[in-house]
Amino acid sequence: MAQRPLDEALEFAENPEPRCPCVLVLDVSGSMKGDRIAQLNEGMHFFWEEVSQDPLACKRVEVAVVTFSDTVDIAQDFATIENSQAPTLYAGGATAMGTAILKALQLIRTRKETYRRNGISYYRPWIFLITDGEPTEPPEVMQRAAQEIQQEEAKKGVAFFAVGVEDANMDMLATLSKERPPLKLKGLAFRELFLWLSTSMQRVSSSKVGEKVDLPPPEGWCSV
Amino acid sequence: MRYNSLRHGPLTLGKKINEGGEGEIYEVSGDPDKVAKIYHPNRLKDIEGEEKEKKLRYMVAHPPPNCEEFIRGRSHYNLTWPLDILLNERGQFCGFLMPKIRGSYPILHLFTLKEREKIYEKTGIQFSYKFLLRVASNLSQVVANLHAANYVIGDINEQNILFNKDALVTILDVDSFQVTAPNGAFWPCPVGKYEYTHPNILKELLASGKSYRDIRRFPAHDVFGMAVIIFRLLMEGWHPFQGVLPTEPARIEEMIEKGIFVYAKAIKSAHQVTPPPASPDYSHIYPDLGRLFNRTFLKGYEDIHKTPSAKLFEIALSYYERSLTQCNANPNHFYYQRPNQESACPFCKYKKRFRKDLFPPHKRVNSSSDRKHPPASSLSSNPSGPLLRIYLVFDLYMAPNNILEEINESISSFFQLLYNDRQVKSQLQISIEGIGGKSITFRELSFITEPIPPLILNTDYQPDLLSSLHATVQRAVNTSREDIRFSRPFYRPWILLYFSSEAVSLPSSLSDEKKIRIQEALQKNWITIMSFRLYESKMEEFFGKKVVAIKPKALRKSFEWLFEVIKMRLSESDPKKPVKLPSMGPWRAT
Repeated sequence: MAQRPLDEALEFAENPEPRCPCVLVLDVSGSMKGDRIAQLNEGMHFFWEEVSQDPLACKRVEVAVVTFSDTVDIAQDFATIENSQAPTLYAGGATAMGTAILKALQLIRTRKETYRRNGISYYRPWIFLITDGEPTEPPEVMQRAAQEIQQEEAKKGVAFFAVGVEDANMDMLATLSKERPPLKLKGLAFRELFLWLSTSMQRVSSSKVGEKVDLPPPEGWCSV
Repeated sequence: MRYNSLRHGPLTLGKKINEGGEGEIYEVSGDPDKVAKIYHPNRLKDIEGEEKEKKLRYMVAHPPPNCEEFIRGRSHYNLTWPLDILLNERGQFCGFLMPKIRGSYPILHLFTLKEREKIYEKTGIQFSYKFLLRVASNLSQVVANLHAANYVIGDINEQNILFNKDALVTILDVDSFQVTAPNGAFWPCPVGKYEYTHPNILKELLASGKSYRDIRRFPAHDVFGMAVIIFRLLMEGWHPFQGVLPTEPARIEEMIEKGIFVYAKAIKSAHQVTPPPASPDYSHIYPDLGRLFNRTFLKGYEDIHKTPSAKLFEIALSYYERSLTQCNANPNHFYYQRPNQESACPFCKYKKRFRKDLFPPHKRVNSSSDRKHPPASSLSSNPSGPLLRIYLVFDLYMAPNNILEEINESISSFFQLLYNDRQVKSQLQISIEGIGGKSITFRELSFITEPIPPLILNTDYQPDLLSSLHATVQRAVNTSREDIRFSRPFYRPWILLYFSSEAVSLPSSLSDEKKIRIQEALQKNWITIMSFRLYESKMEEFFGKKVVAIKPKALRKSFEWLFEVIKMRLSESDPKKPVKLPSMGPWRAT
């Protein structure tokens, strides 16, 4: 169990809405340099803008950003859209993908415990991985990451989405989640991708009982 | 594109204001007071379109009273009721006209300090708990009026209820209401939001895979959603079914389905659940309103007939508003001060705990006309003559909401009469009780120190009339004995019984000990018993005296008569001398 900060409850005193958590796990390795990272940053800013327009979703959707290159960093811990800004990322280095996924799962576990202590209910957390390469870590790390994702998926603890950019190793990504095959980004259509994510999050965060949320089709950003 | 309104003729639409799943909202060129909703063509296909057209035509022809009211010289819309249907160029139904609402905001912006501050920055509206209470009571009034007109809202949520700077409420999305025509035509409400959905409906949705449009809603279902909104207004946005469980937090709809209202004592221990640590102290809620929450969130879960009506919420909220005390430390803190308890402003307490003032002092100090309630003790006047003690005893076994409404409204005006009369205030003590399996005290025997009665609610226990009455008689006799001991002059106490249920009767066996005691008190003139019957009661005679039948809707008049009787009695200062009673008016059924 993680430590508990003083005045943790204040955050929820300000906003008792149920939360819709999402971790963006983003590849910032050397190969993402240039246009790719620029488009990704722009897409993320657009995402924040879009969700901010929705008075309820901006209080419910919480995003954490985990980046990976040589190291894994938490570019941003969980915060609601209304209380945060899109981070700006820089690329360079190797691809510690498995460690990043494990970090994302850990963030979610900690966050869930915080929700529990504070009586906040939540929607199924999402992990949204975006990468253009393949892991440069020992294979056991990826195996463990895949195993944990599958366990969580099985008990509906998270929903895992993987998006491959240009020369990403799609076969490797396919081993991560049995539930959802990875999607291939069309060119650098990050803006369209984040518009889709924003619409999906708004739908999920106001979804109704017994209703299977119909996610919008990934048209416009996904190449089949 | 040109459209045609049956009442207003051809018209063109201006710019698009809003877009939803069902259609789009447009301005109407040349008419700033109306907007048009145009459905997506795929929503008007076949039978769905035909039904929608029929429903809208019916609604246009049958608006409930008070859709539009004139308040402070300005028109206010309680509902965006359809004004007329719209046809396209080919003469096909495509949407409807409705009033345009200005200067109003979704109620969700009242839930938390942070949201209220945003509205303040935008509009300058300064908030207090009073404001929130008024929004709550206005909301319950609009809902009560709709129910009286046989409409059910169905999809109550935090985004389709608006408030304005005067705390007036407007309900949107009127075309999704559930409509039942007198000829049997029925149009369901096809949508809903689970956080405001009654547990019985949730069960149906989950168990059978039905959707909202397959379910017939009742006013009690609306009251559930409305009560959640009111709870969130008064509890800083916290949902009544949101709490800390030992396990992973459940989704709100699961908590509702299981009936885990986390602020109820019984629920707390049964489910090992506690209210969220950041929620305000629930004990600040006016007790009568708390009882309505219990009946809605717990009892209504067992049986929707136990859910109070919107009207009862309106009554309880008006008592709440009138019972507010102003805080000494911050004149913008208004709260209910429990009698005989140390003064403790819940908002100062909250401020100490979270270092946030939920209702900061108003920026421009307005010379508030709010009178602080003087402490009750200074009002309990010196008796200027003998004391008259009246015990009002109600049999309300399973009484339906309409009877409860009539009783509460009648008692409310009765208390106003009593409060406005000096002599009555100084010489009359009144107690209000209910007959149940155990007797229920709505109000302890005391002087009228404020014009606010308790909320009278029904009982679920099979009533034991004899035991309850016996207990009341005993108390009355004992109080008189005290008076004798201290040589205080007093009139013979009155016990007034109001029978409403068929289920209540006296056991016929005369040998019953309690019955004998009551008879003795009557024979020795220790007490006077007057009995009345309303609604379904068949009680003809009670302890050898005729039971007076009260006509439907005439209870209030009977209390006006009772007030005259009290005045007459007090006008004769010698308790021994009998007085002539004023004749009973046309409220009496023959």
